[in-house]
Amino acid sequence: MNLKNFWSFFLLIGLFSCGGSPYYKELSQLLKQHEKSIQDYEYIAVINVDACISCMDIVKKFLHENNSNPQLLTVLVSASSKKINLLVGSLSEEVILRDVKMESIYDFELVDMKPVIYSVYGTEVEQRVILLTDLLDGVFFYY
Amino acid sequence: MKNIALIAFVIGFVFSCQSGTENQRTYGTTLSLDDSISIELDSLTSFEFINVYYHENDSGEFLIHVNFLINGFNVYDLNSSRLLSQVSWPKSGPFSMSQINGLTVVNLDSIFLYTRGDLRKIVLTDYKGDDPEVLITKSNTEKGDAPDSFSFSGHTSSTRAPTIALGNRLYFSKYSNFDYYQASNINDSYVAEFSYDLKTNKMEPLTIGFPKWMQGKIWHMYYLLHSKTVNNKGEFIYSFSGEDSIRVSHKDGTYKAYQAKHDDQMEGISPYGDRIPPEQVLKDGVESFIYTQIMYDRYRNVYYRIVEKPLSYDPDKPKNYRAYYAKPVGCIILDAAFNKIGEVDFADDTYISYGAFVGKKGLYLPRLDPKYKNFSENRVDYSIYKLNMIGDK
Repeated sequence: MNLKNFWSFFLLIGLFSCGGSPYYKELSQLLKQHEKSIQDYEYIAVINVDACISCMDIVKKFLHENNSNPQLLTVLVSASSKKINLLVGSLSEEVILRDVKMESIYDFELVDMKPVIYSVYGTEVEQRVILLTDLLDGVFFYY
Repeated sequence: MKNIALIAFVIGFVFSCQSGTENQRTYGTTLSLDDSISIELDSLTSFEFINVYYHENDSGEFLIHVNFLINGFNVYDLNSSRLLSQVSWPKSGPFSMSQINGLTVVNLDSIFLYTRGDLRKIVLTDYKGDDPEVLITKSNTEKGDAPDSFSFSGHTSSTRAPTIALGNRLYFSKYSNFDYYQASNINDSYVAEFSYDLKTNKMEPLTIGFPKWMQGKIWHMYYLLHSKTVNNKGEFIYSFSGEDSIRVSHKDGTYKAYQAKHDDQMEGISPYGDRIPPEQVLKDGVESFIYTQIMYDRYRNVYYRIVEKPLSYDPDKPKNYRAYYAKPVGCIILDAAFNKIGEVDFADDTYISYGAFVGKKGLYLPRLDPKYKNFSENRVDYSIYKLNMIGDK
């Protein structure tokens, strides 16, 4: 191995070891801004609430069913803080993150129209795009 | 020789400029910003005023907003901009509606409510939500004359595709739930409209479907969605988002197309050869003319066709649906005979192409662009555009 190849190899190793998998950095940054840590959760559900404005009930039910699950963080993305207020109601916000600036969409590209479930394994993150109705089935836990 | 080349260049330049000028048509009619109103919003109402309905009676003008946050609706007095009533509909019980997604205002004492994706039950109530009455609908499929794809599901009721009350019937629109990127779904048996007979409680399909030239091909999904309105003669006007024409259902039962495109649109749309990746769909949507809404102005006997104009797609920006919000918005004005009499490009960073309505004073456009400088979650601002002849004040 000549010197050039040696440094290329070293650089590649460095990149892979520090970067983590795709989405890891983005999720970490988003959560950090809201004083949460990605390592505290096994699943992170990112839901663009504005994508279906008549689907409030589905999201509300999902939040209620999972509010006592400390392994699942739900990121609610909406330009309307009133909408998020009504969805959250009196629920504990330990496992809810309000993204009113829509950073999940504009800055980190973590979600578009359909909900996305991120499974966190150390520094590895697996992404699954699901249908809104899947939120009620809990299907993403069985993948 | 150098001089000849220079003269040729100058002549060529002058003529190319003239040619460009000739493409710029001039019209005698325009829309001018005349007035504005602001509606203050309470804690139970989001700024997303994209499903609204205008109503006028002897006592004034009203705006009825479908409030998804409370599964109900708000009624505003447009003259005072004040909230008159707010109705949150029950989700259980005999008059329940699980997810109200649209309504039809016949008058303030008769408002039909529709629930998302299901028309088996319709509720009739007044503007305070009192005296509810339930209508159970029936399909007429027992007659055997309804096509296979006809069903109650997939109906839409919105400002751009309103459910229209006319005579003893309600006229519904449908946006199907099928895969729009499957060419075989874009066929001639598709029913885009159906009517409900209030006397017999029966639903019937209408003969409006995908335009023939679009059938059997794959298109950007948005091109296939339609908007509709009705004029003072009871003629329905349909506008498919990708078509440079509108379609009019005349009283004699014939449909006729009338060109109603923006002058900057030089080419028609093209189908895809096969299914394409989502980012290409987004790019094509952002870079094309999309006609989102057709409205009839009964006060001035003209039509407004709202259009999203193309925007150069920036691959470095976030690749999601909000890219559409950055598109410039314009309006094509048609006279009573569907001749184009005007074209307007609205101010950038102020409007989106949804939620407009016509009132006595003119065309109301909500300032809902995310970049609108005075945006507030607690208020919706409307610009009111007045129709006038160019040169008039």
